[in-house]
Amino acid sequence: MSPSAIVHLQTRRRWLARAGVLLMGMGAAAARPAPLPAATRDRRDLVIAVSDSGESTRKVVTDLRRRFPRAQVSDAKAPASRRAMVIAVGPVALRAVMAEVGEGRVVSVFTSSQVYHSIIETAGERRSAATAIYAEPSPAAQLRLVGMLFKRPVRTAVVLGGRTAFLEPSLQRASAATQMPLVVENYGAGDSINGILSRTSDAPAILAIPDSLVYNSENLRTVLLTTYRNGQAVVGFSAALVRAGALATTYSEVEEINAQLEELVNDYDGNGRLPEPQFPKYFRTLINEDVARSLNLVVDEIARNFAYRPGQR
Amino acid sequence: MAVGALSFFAGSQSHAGTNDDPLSDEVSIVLTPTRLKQSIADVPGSVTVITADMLDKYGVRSVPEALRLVPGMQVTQLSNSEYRINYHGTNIYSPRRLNVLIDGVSAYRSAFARVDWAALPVSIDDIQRIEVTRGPNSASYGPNSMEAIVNIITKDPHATDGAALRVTGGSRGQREAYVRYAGSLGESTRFRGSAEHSQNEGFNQVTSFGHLSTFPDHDAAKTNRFNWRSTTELTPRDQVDVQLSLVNSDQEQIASDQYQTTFPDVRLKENDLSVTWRHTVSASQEFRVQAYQSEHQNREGWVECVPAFAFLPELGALWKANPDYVRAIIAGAQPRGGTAQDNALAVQALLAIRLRGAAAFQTTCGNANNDYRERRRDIELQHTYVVSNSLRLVSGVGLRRDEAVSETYLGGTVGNTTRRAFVNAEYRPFDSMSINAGGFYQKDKLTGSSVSPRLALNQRLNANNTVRFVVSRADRMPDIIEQRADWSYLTTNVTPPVNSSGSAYFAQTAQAAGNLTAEKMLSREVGYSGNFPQYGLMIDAKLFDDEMSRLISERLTLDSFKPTNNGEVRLRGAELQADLDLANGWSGHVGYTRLSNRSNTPMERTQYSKNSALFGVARQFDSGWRAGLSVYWASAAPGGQSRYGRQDLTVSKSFRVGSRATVTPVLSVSHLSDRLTSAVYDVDRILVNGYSDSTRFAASLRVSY
Repeated sequence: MSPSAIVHLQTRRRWLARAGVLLMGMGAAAARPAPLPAATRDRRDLVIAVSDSGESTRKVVTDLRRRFPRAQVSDAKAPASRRAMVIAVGPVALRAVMAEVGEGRVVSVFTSSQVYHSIIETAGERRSAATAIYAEPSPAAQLRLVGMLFKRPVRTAVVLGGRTAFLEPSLQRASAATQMPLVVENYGAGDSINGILSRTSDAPAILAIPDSLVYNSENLRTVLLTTYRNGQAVVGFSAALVRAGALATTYSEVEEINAQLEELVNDYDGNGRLPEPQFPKYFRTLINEDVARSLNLVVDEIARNFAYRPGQR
Repeated sequence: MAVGALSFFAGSQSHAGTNDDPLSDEVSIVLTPTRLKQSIADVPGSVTVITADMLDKYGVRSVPEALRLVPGMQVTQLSNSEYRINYHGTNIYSPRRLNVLIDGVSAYRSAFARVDWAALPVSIDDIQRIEVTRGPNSASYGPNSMEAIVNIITKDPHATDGAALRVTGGSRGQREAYVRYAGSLGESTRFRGSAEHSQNEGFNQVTSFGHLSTFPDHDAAKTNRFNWRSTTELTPRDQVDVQLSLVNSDQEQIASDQYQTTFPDVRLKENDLSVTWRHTVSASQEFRVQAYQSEHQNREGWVECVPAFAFLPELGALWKANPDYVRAIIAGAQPRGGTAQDNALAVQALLAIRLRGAAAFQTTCGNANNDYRERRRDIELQHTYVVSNSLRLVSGVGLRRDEAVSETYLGGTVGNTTRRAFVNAEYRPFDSMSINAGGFYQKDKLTGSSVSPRLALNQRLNANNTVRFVVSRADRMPDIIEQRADWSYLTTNVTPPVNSSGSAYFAQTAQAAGNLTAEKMLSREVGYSGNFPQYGLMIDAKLFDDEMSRLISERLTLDSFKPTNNGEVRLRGAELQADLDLANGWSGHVGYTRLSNRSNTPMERTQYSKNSALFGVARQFDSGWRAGLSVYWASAAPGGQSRYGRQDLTVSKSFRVGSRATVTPVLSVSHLSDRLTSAVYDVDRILVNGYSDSTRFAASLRVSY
């Protein structure tokens, strides 16, 4: 492992230990809080719904309160004002909020797309009033990262389970936009990860999308070892996975997710329209340099510095 | 209250009805530094990697044919089952300087210093990749890895799943069937089991080794293989691999001389069992213990009819004392020039012949054989230690016991015990530089000890370009036959009986002097590797200068068994390899070798192509179609080796049936530039083999589910 990679990962470990979380396993070196936009409106009817007071949650809340000083912080199980806009921090809070009766909008943050959809599917009328900023990296950014690492378009396989199948259209759009040929394998009932890996063994890159049907703690080791033996690069989906042996991922800091949330709330205040659920817009990149070297990839600063930060054009 | 994101996801479980969210999983480090391979830019030598994908797209159906994809690899097929393969050629008669490993188990049988290429204990369908280190690698793999090492890696049980089936039919009676099933045994064991049958009729025409007449249509072979591999995770830190291979093969062979009245067909059996235990101490340390046993049996019998005097013990005694005397007697000449004892034995032999009168010249028939068995037991402990970001050490010790049993070749059983130790270090003082240094020490009972060191410097000029300088010494230890041959033919069921006995020894015999030393090689290489990912292009080029000395170059026969260490060869030249992989489905593989062979014996030039090249291009279409064209060419050489040219075209189309099944019909056409090919058999003796038609076809159907 190269010294730079070690420093990166150790920095991450300290942060994780301090935070007790991973904020979806995606945090890295602590980022400075982004300056608040002057135009941010301070809403009285904004509720930050949380399900715990853990350190990571406190970190999220601290940053959100900086952005929305007059927002109320509430236990997700406590009913909020019927018309309040609720920011549900994490899936437990989201589930509790969606179980309530209310008219206000709900914005989910720090919940993966798979879990968000599973909760929303079973929610009642309020589902149409909800949107999300997913916890996992944007597939489009990940595909662009694949292109930067390989320095050319390469066939990239992605495995989608039943709960992530809805991502296929957006993946195909991202594939067209990045000119990365995409091979979509659907993980169905009776499939095994070994069979899927066998069927995708000729793709140089695997874009891993978090889906508990496809990837779980029992098979991630198999996935990483088998793809490595095949000479395939795994891109995604968390820093923990990169540390374990995936090639790289994009990830977002708490402040970056919150900055996007702030923009979403401001836009909603401006036009009254709630956008579709979206992937994190701001991100940075983590690369396992040792794996890259072993796979004969030439990593340059363009890939290492691949990021989009608040305020960046 | 508590937690953080981990609880975010845990809270969703019951609701979502799913397992934990992978985003929340903390994964322990899987690809530890000990598991990571060196990048091509850091490897102390030139390497060709033939992947399963390349085998498919270029329609390669056997390991020896796959080696044609390796620049500089000289592949000569003498008969259906007899390949002579050397990296950079040299001695076609004794291609003993190339090591072959299958998942760490050596297929190089050191008792008889040969590799049964046509009956390797691995199915081509089970191969994940073949890594060929082009150049000496004794420093890592020990003696016999002198010219190159062929490292065959089979598919991990985790990388295969469900059932697979292949049936193939083609020209010259080609019939193949392969079936595989992979699955799980309990929660911690994955397995893969496969069985294969293959048969074909080989060449239409094969020249006999001995008397150069041709034998049409006696070159068929049938081979059955069974392979098992399982991987068990005993603990997160301990993994055990078990592999079992069973092979039997019936190989037709033409008669080697006019006295063989039946074909000396070969029946071969091999069984290998290996167990590998890998223990991860930490991310930076790993132990690996591999133990294996390999048993090989070769049965090759025939009926021979010779004049009865050939069985006279008096003639046998004279042969042992002075073979030239026997040759003179048989030629009707007066033997002379020997010792008084030789003269006395000659008188006894002549007397014995005269006493039998006409009966001495009566044709006498009986059964003879070249049967032998070999058994190898090997255990090796290897320790990988990543000391720091810049220093990585691989060291180990091993013990091997070889036993060879053959009444014909050895007069019984001969064993050899070998002890070995090795250490290799990769040191990166700077990010742009890596130094590989190491050595291998081996000591065996028959020959003694040898040390094979290597020093290599790889300097990255920039992100894309690396140059390397490699100096190494390599050895080949003489095999059991070369050192301990006690070669004689006991003919049984002799009719009519000789000396009232139904069995008799053929007069010609050979005994090894046992004074050979290891063959030596000093190799110098200046190499370049270019990695241009933006073009999907990887280039490897090198200039090499290999000095081989103390070579055992003689063709060892019963008639002439005089091995020495007198051979010398100097191989110099340049080699280029390029691989292209584009996203639009195009891929390519190119190789070229320019070779100069200067040797003090023509035997070391019996396999020699001054120029050889290969070219492969393939296209994968989104519709499931795939086409691959490969072209192989090697120049002729003075002395009888013909040029070799072949063009293969393979077209396939994959259909998905349902969500999991794939059906792939494959059609391959192979065209030989020259229908007949010749190879040097001995000084001034040529073998000519060939097909009646220069074009051959094969069609396969592959199904996986």
